Amino acid sequence: MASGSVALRARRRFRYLPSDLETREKWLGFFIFLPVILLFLTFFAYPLFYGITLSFYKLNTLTLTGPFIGVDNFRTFLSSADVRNALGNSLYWTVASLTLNLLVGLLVALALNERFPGRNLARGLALSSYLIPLVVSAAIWQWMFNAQYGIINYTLFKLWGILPVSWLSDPKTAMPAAIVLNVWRTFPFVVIVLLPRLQTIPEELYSAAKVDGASAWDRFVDVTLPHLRSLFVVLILLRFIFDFNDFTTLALLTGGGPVHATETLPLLVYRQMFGLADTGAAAAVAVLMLLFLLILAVVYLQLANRGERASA
Amino acid sequence: MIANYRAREGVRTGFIFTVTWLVVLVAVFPLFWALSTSLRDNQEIISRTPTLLPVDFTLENYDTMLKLSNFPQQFSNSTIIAIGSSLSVVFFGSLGAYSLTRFRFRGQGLSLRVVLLTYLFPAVLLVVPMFIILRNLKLTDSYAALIIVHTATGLPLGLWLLRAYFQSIPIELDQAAMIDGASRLETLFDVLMPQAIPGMISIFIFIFVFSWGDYLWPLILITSRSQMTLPLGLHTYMNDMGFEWGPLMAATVVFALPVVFLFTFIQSRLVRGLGAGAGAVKF
Repeated sequence: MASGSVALRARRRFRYLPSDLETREKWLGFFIFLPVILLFLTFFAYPLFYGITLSFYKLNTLTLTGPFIGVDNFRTFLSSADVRNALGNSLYWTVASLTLNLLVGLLVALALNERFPGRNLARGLALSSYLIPLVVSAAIWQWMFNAQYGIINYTLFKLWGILPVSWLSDPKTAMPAAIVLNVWRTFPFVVIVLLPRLQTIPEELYSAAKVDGASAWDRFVDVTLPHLRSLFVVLILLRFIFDFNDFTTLALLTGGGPVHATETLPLLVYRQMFGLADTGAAAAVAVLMLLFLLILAVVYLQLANRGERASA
Repeated sequence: MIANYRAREGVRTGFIFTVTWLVVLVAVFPLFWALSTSLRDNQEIISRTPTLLPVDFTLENYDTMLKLSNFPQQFSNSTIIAIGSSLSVVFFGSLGAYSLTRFRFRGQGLSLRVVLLTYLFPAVLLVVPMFIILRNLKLTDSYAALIIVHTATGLPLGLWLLRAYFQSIPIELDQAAMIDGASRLETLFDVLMPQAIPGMISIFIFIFVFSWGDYLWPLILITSRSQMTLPLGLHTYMNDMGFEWGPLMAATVVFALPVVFLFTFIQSRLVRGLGAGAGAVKF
């Protein structure tokens, strides 16, 4: 009898609770979910809200006291060379990383999707740089970029006679060098997202295109790319957000130097909070980043949707 | 004609083989180079004509590194924090996933989506207030602070992935257990959790790797040397020692080992798990 009603309910409403239990069970379900909600509220929602309010104060980091100053923190942005410099660096860092990342990631994913000897091993190895702790990667690349003994300068000299470059202490080369590290480290992310989709594109589509006389390039543009489109929409957004918000890579590799040449917005937040002991200004920069990302994400998704409808 | 086709395919495979392996080797080279450097003596490290493999193998860099730094202490700090965070994400994530897949209550879908939104926010926006909150709770400079923060940042991923795992466990299992008189919690712990172990192991590893390599939060929350985690310790060591490449590379190798070990363990899982739409792991 009991089992009968259980099965019936499961079929009818994707539920299987005897009705007398239903109210009590609903509370039990909520109660079990409560720890997640509490953790989320205490250590995410509340800090977020708190951070936004901090940006309206002139707050000293050490004493954590200071007056309410309204939007003054934001007003000083307009004339702040630091903020302009960091915003420029952030865009340079993000856009260059993103572009190279997608390009390298796509090419590697296409290659790893082909059949060749040792493919599984190659797949595993190609993804390894993503999992190595960033501190380790930064230390290794610092060693490789070393001006005197680094393997990169040695190789460049040996192969093309290029004279040694002080990669990380020259304001002109520091950012490109950091971007190389970033792309090396994060291209596996793009591969991990694209590869499973590539594997599901039906082989027949390619052979049909081949019969119709499509060249390899045509097949790539007309068969492969349309299948990857929706993933690219997500990838571009995610990678933009991740790189834009990334603090650690540059903090470890260059520390924002030389002379702020690689100081992006997250590094500026850190310097304002702990270097200049100005928590309010730091919070204000962080809020600015959040607004920038939110607006960008909304506009981007709208454009992507429109594009989808236009092409459909 | 067919022979011609075969030959063309052969050339194609050979080409792809060569190019792909070249790319893979370039991608792995930095890790190889760190290992190779760590096994050379100082003379050889600063040699004008470096060789691919060390000429005289030596372990002295590992010896120096262990003596000079707080390495063992930091290694154990990092291990405790990474295991603590992973376990709590698995625990809270499982509870949440159980609730989301086996109960219906108001606001379920909304909370799931809101939790996912967390990926959008810059960590530095949380840095300022989190520092203040944890300082007010007198928790800075402790394991607890990092475990809390890593749990909070890892939980969205844990919740989403474990939800997918719990969804794939047939509901008939719950029903059978409950008909046999098991309570809700008995059903969860004795029936569902054993079924979800592969998923729980994946989450454990993801969060472990994230927590193990995190640099931002220890930098903000840890001040005393005895509480430092490996990433922080390694960076401090670099600054203190003025780039002694041999011991430094030895430290990076030992530091990367647990991750490499775990990685071989999850290699196949990785592509599947991340490909399933949960690709938003941050490391």
